[in-house]
Amino acid sequence: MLILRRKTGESLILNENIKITVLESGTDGVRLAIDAPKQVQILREELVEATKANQEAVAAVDKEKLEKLKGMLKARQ
Amino acid sequence: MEKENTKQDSISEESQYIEFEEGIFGFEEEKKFLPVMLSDGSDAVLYLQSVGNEELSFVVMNPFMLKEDYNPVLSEEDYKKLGTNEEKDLSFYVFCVLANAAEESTVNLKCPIVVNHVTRKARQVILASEEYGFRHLLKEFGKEEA
Repeated sequence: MLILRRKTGESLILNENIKITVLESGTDGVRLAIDAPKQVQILREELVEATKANQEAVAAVDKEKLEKLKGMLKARQ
Repeated sequence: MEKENTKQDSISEESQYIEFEEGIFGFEEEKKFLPVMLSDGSDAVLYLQSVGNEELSFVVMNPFMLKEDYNPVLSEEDYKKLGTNEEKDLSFYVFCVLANAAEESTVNLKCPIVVNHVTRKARQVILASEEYGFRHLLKEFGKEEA
């Protein structure tokens, strides 16, 4: 993994056609400007994780497992 | 958010759908879900059934019944989109991934769904808190005191 330091206003170029500029940085986070071709998908990582987690949740709906869960909750009461 | 106990106003009291204006993550087209109660009089665990797609349903749990000190902090935008400033109007649920052994099931405390049970408006959020993850094993949570 490459780790480097950039100051406000400085940029990085990826693959010759993607430019990432640091606009602002503070205790609350860093503001970035990303200049990339339209077909390049840019997603916040947590959104990708949230989507993945939701998809797992759909796949896991199963009556038998649900009965076990209800049984466990009942036993805890 | 302070809750004295694990009770919150259940969203399943009326057989009315809740509406996610922006859908939920990964299912942005699915706006309407019907909450179905699974155990008598308790919202410990509910089914969330898509109104538009009968193949699509989720199991959700009341997070406060798992973790009494669960403390989801919403952004100003979240309150705005939910149409309220009052925490008492809101109920929280977390998605559950069921496992063969119930204790191995996981819940996503990072991305609760928040329902304004007055207007039936709902929204899935991603909490900023580092404390909550996408997959907490149910066995993490201590046994509830009766």
